[in-house]
Order: sequence, then structure tokens, then C-alpha cells
Amino acid sequence: MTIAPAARRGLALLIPVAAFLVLGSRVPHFLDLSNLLNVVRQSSIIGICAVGMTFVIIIQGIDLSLGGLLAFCPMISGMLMLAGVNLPASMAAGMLAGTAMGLFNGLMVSKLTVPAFITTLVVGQISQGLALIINGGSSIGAFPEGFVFIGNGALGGVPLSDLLLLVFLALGFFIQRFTPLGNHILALGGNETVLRQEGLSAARLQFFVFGFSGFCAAVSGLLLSAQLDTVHPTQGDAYQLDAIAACIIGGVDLAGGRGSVPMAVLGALIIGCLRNVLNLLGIHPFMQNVFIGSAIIVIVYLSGAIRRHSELATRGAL
Amino acid sequence: MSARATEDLQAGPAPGERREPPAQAPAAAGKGRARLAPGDLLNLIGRNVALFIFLTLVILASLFVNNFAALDNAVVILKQSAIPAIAVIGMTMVLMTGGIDLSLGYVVGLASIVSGIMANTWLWPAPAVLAAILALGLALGLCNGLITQFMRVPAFIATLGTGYVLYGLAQIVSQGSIINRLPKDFLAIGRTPMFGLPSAVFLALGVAVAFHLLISRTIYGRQLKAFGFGARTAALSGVPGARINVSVYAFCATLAALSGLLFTIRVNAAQPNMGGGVFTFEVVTAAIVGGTSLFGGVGSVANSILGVLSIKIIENCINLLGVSYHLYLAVQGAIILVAIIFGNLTNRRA
Amino acid sequence: MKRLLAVALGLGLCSTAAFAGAPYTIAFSLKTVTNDDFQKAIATSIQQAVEKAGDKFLLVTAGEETGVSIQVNQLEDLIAKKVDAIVLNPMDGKAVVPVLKKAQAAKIPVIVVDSSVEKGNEDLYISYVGTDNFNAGKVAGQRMVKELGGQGGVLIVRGANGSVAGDQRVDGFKAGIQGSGVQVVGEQPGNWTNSVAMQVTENMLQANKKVDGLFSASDVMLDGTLQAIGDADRTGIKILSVDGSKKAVDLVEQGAIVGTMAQFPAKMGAIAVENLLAVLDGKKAANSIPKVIDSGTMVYDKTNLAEARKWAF
Repeated sequence: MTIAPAARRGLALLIPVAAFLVLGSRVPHFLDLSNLLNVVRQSSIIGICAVGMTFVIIIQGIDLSLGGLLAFCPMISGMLMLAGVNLPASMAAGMLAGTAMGLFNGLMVSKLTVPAFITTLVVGQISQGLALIINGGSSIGAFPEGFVFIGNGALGGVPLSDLLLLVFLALGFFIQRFTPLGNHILALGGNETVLRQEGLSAARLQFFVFGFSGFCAAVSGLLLSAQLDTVHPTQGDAYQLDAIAACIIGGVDLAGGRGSVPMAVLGALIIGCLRNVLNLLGIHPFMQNVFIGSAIIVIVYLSGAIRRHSELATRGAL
Repeated sequence: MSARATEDLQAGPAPGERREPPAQAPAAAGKGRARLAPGDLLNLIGRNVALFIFLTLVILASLFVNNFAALDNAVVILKQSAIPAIAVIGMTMVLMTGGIDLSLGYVVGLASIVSGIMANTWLWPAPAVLAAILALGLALGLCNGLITQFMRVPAFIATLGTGYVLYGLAQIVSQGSIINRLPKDFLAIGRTPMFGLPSAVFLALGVAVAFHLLISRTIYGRQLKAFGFGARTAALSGVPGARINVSVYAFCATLAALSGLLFTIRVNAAQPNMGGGVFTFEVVTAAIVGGTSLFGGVGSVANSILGVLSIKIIENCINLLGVSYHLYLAVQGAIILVAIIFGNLTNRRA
Repeated sequence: MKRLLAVALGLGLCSTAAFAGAPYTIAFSLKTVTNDDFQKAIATSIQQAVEKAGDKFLLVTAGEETGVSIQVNQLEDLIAKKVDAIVLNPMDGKAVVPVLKKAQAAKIPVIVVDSSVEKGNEDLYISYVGTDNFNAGKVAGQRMVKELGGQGGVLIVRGANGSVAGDQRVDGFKAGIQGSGVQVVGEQPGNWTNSVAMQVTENMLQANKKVDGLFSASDVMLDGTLQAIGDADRTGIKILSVDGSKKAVDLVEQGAIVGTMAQFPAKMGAIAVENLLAVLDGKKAANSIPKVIDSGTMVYDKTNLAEARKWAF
């Protein structure tokens, strides 16, 4: 029996949603609105990072500087805020710092042909080191009301963090789908010859992609600190690998040339849900690691298998 | 798996790769044997970046850092490098195929606590513990390889996932505790003094030589490099891709397990959080400083070990100079950055 | 005396719990119990006290490294899960303030143990039960001055970068030696692990040919530190540490270290649960409980091994 492609796609979406609702209902309090909003809020950090990371991975790069930037950028903003500089300026300074680091990565990759993983690894380490130096290893906190509100407040019942994630999701999606830039990024990742034929510069794309990733990391770090009302010098450690994992779970191909921002954000939400469910079920911390590890392997395996299956189907092999 | 075969043809040699010397060299040589053209020197450096970085560090440190150029300090550095050196060999092989093993640090932890339990609680004789730990590593590595190869899960996720699982297992097995005061025959595996150095150093040396020969002198090694350059091209030349892919993860985890065992012996404590993500990161960094490419096809055991030594020298100097622990990360990062930029610049010239 | 009181209260609560209805779920949120006998001891004592009262115990750990935000997320999830009470050992005293406000809004009572919450937020929790990490370090410093006769060079093996407890202990130690002829000649992070502690100690010994004393921010790093000292054939270094674990007490007995600053994790846990249950059962008003309860510090050295063995974990 043949199913129309549109219906096939609809079915493909229905199944995970149904699974989500069914499984979710078996976990007490999971489907509470307040909990779901919380999950989105907790995933927003990884989610915003994943938006920037998607473009980096598409051009066959990788950004390992997230961990350091997530601490360094808010540290700069935080110090300024505590010194009395107004909120917008302080935050802008932090975002500038992250973007600058990202652009530096872009410079190394395009002009010095240093592979992305090397430069981002080192920039990350240096940023982390600077975050420790700036305040002698201690955390800073007790920020102005306005900043804390960004991390913990809500508009119309929806936490600001969730809204911010939505904004970045939309931004990333827009860039990817509706700008020539987005197309060129996909081209750079998948088929460099097309780029050359059109006379486009790979360097400029690399600058953008890494700069944007640095920018996302900065925003993410600021959001994290707003949520915690603290900048802890090593607060970024936990997020480094999760952001990349989120992209991969969302189907972004590490080999480059393929991926979408919304799917990467979905990957971040999946990771957030996993952790939340394990906490709600009160699973022993030792077992949590076992579950998370197995779950991400299974998820990626299944989504990969499904994608390969549907590819074969569209090619008429089935 | 690397899909960059076409990229590599266009982009030129990756760091550390061999390349024919520029045409000017023979002409310069013809002018008079005694003179070396600048091109020659840069070319030489470019082909041996890891060695150059290492030698530069040694020279600078000897000149400017008190207490560095002393025999007992050299012994200390060798002792600190031995175990990461064993781990970096396996990681290099995995990186050469274009993959990565993020479970490495967690294999170390599991091996540590398991070896402690075997030696202390079950009272197994040392050779049995050694054999069992190697077998454990092999089994874990095969899992990684099978998941990556046959379930087609990208190595990043596969090994991240198994890493988490192993960490959880290590905690469960140990119930969070550590085991001290291990039996003497067990400790002797790594602590037997030989020529002023503990046996662990010579173990590391033996492993290094064995794998260097494996990679540079055997068909397996050639196939490994070919696989890293491009799976499709490799397949066309008859390289048994699946076997190579699975085998590197098996080797990596086995060597990681050996590292865990030796770490346990070194500090005389078996603990579930030995190694961990930090150690994985350290090993990958060392491999990168040694010129290994994350995209595959490029790497060498000798260079990666030089990478380990270079990093340990930097750490040693930072401690010797009494650099504040807060500056530590930034300073180390800056030095590595300079080393890598330099390596890249000279390599492009060559 | 306090112990008797706790037991009596426990028994009393047991009987009332039988009539109280559904058991309470009490969660303990902290960094980790892995390779941390001290935290493990707190957790065990809380678990025992909770289960003895017939209630349910939930262990929530953030994980190895500095997952400050992970702990915050877990606390939010605990609030969503509607647990009855929380015992908290915050990884960062400032970062938990926003989520404590949420717990307060959800009417979940909280007691803080071991590490404190940022000053000025006392209304967010019932009580803080612990010993001052700073004070523990200071007493160790003063002891070091005594051991070295007022003169000498010491090494410090710190905890992980950014660890609040570790930093406080070291800062306290430095305050303790201030004004004397004892100087810090080397100071590096041991990251709470033996392998790193061993490496930095090896390197610091290389840099300083004459070392008279060593302060370790925790017992968990002693194995590696002692190995390094042994391998370098250095003798006569006076070592002081913090925690008060069995391992350290054994080392004191063997003469390998001078002493360890004991804190009493078991007491912390017991006192915390005792007060929480009293509040939950309505037997005590939350604001009648003292804001700060000192669970005591003591140096375990060769002179009080018997006492040490009673409490060492």
C-alpha cells in the first residue's frame, strides 16, 4: 500500500509526539505545564549554543570553545555590572567578547588554515583561563534586578529563557532557509566546487559561522548567569559536549553539508527532557549516567535508521 | 568516517604529512654542500613539527626555568608522561580513522576500580589482574567499534554514550568509594624500579614501539591511513573498512584500560573517577599537538607521544615557576596556541 | 547529649510517623558522593535518619565536576516533583538563591548543610548546619605554625579551581599562618583527585628543595600526595589535611601525617533531618530553630585517636 509523501511525513511526526505524550504521562508531574516550561528553560542554554553550532558543523567544522566562552563572556559582563555600568552596555560587552573570540577562530581557520578543532580547543582553554583569572577563581553574583529577571522572569506566564530560545531558533532558521548566506553555508559544507563556481569566498563564510557561534555562546552564557544570578568561573564545563550531542541527535551530520537549526534545538530539548524525566523518577544518580548514555545511543541509532530507510524509500528501492 | 577525500586533494597536505621538497632545494644544494638554504630548514621543521615543538620547549625551559634541566626533574616528567603516552597511542589510531573515543577517560576509571577490586577484594594474583583488565578493555572497545560500525551511530555519540554508561557502572561497582593500599605484587607491575625509572615507563616504551611498528611497517597500518583519508576510496582499494574501524576502538579501549591499571598503581588507589572527561581531553589535546588530524588520515605514534611530553613539560614548567594556579589554564593554552600556529605556518611553507 | 536527644526524637517521631499518614519524601542535593567519603558520610547519615523515621530518602547528585547549573536544574525538578523537604549542600552559595526562592514559594522547607548560602538570604532556609570551612583551614594553619616552630616553607595542594569549599579552606589556612615565619612556597590545584595531586606535588617538590610542611585541602588527595613525597625520598614533611576520614586517621596513627581537621558529617546529617522532621510534623516552628548550627570542628592527631575512631568515616 502506497502512502502519499505528505502523509508519510505527517505520520513520521505523529509517532514521536505520541510516544512523547504516552511516555510522559507515565512520569508523575512531567506533563505539568510548569515542568514543561522548566524543561525548555533548562534546555535553553544548550539550545542557543546548538543554533550556532549547527552552522559550524555544517561547514565541516566544530566549536570546542563553548565551555570557556560560557564562563568568560558573562564574567566580563558581570564585572562591568557590579562596577556600575548599565545593563545593556555590560551585556553588549560580553556579547562582543564572545563574538570577538569567535571571529578569531574564523581568522585562524580561514587565513592560517589551522583546523577548527585545534583553534577552538585552544581558544576555549584560554577563555576558561581568563574567566578564572579575572576574579581570582571566585564566583561573582548579586546582579541588578533587570538581569536576574531575564533569567528567571516570565512574560505572560512563559519564562523569558524560553522566549529567548524561540528567538534564536527563529533567527537561525531564518538565516538557514531564507538568506543566500544560509545556502552558501550549506554549499561550503557539502560541495565546495559550487562555491568556487559562484566566485564566493569561503573565508567570509567561515568568519561568519565562527563569529556567530561565539555570539551564541556569549548569549547563552549570559542567560545561564542570569538564571543563576551568578557567574561561576567553571560554569561552562558541563555544556561543551552536550551542545554538540544536541546537534547530532538533531540529525546534523558531523561530516558536514547537512543539518537544520530547528532539529538541533529539538536535540537540545530531547537531552533536557531526558535529564528531567530521570530526576522526576528519582533515579539514583549512578544509574542516571547509565540511562543517559544508553538513551542517546538508541535515539541516534533509531533516527539514523529511520532516515536511511526513508532515503531508500524515496529512491524507490522499497 | 572522513568524507573529505576530495577536499584533501585540493587543500594540500595536512600538518605532519609528507610532501616533496620544493624545487629550490636541489639548486641550493648544488651551490655548496656546507650551506643550508632557509627553505630546507623550514621544510625540515614542517615535516617534524611535533619534534620541533618538543625541542623548542626543552631548550627554552632549560634556559629559563630553574630546576628544569636536572636529571631528577627529567625522571619526574617521564613518570608523568608514561601513562598518558599509552592512552594517546590508542586515541591517535582512532583519530586517524576520522573517529574519536570520548569514552577513554571513563574506561580508565572503570579499569581502575575493577583492578582494585580484583587485587584487593578478590585477591587475584597480579598477572591475572593484568590479563583481566586488558580483556575488559578489549571487550569495551569492541562495543564501541560495533556500535560505530554496525549501528552506524557517529563515533562522537557512540563513545559519549558508552562513556556515560561506563562512568555510571564504575560508580555502581565502587559505590563511590576508593580502594587503598593495594597488594605489593600488584603494585610491582608498574613500580618495579629499572634503571632509575619505574617499570611503567618501560611498559609505555614497549607499547609505543610495538604500535609504531604496527602502524608504519604493516599492511594494517597502511590500510588504517587509507581508511582515514576516505572510506569510499579505501573500499575501492580493497581495504577491509569494517575490520579496521572496529579494531581501532578495540585497541584504544584496551590501552585505556592498561592506563587505568597503571594509574591505580602509580597513586596506590583505585577510584571510579580516575581519568574522566578531563583525561580524555588531555589525551586528545596531546594528539593534536602531535599533529594528528581530527579528520583522519594523519597521525603518528611517535609524534603523539612527543605531544604528550610537550604538554607535560609545559605543566612542569608552570609548576616550577610557581605560576598561579589561576593563570595555569590560560598560560598553557597560550603556549599551545603559539606552538600550533608556528607548526601551521612552517608546514604551509614546506 | 545531642546524640541522645536525636535518638529520642527519632524514636518519638517513629511512633508519630505511624499515625502521620503518607511518608515524607526528603531529598538531599549535593555535588557528588563519588570518591568523597565526607559527602558520602553526610548522605548516609541523612538516609539513616530519614528511613528510621519511616520516610523516603532521595539522593540527588550533580555529578563530578563543577555542574553548578546542573544542581540548580535538579532542585527545580525536585520542586516539580513536589518533594516534602530538601537538604541542600550547595555547590555555589549564590547560584542557588533564585531556585531557593522558588522552593520557598512552593512551601518546601530547606535545610542547608556543609557549604553555606550567600549572606542576606537567611529567610530562604530554616537553618544552616555545618562547620566553617574557613575556620577548619585556619585551625589547621595555626597548628602548622606550632608544628614547624613558627618557621618554614609549606606547600598547599588545593581543591579544584572554582570550588568554594576548597577555596575557603585554603584561605583559612593562609589566615592561620599569617604573622608567623611560615611561608607558602608552592600552591597548585590537586583537583580533588589523586592522580593530579600526585603530579602537582611532584612538580612542586622539584621546584622547592626545602619543604617543611604541606596542607592538603582534603583527605581525598592524600594518597597521591604521599606517593609523590615518598617517590621523591623526602622525609620529615609535616602534613595537615581536612575532612577527618578513616583513611586519614589511619595515616595519623602510622605517623604519615600530623593530623586532619575533622568535621562531623554524620552530625550534620542527623541534626538536619531532626529539625526538618520536627518542622514537617509541626512540632517546631521553623523560626524557632537557630539559623546557624555549628556541628563542630576538631583536630584529629596522635593524642585523640580513640575519639577520632568514634567519628571517622
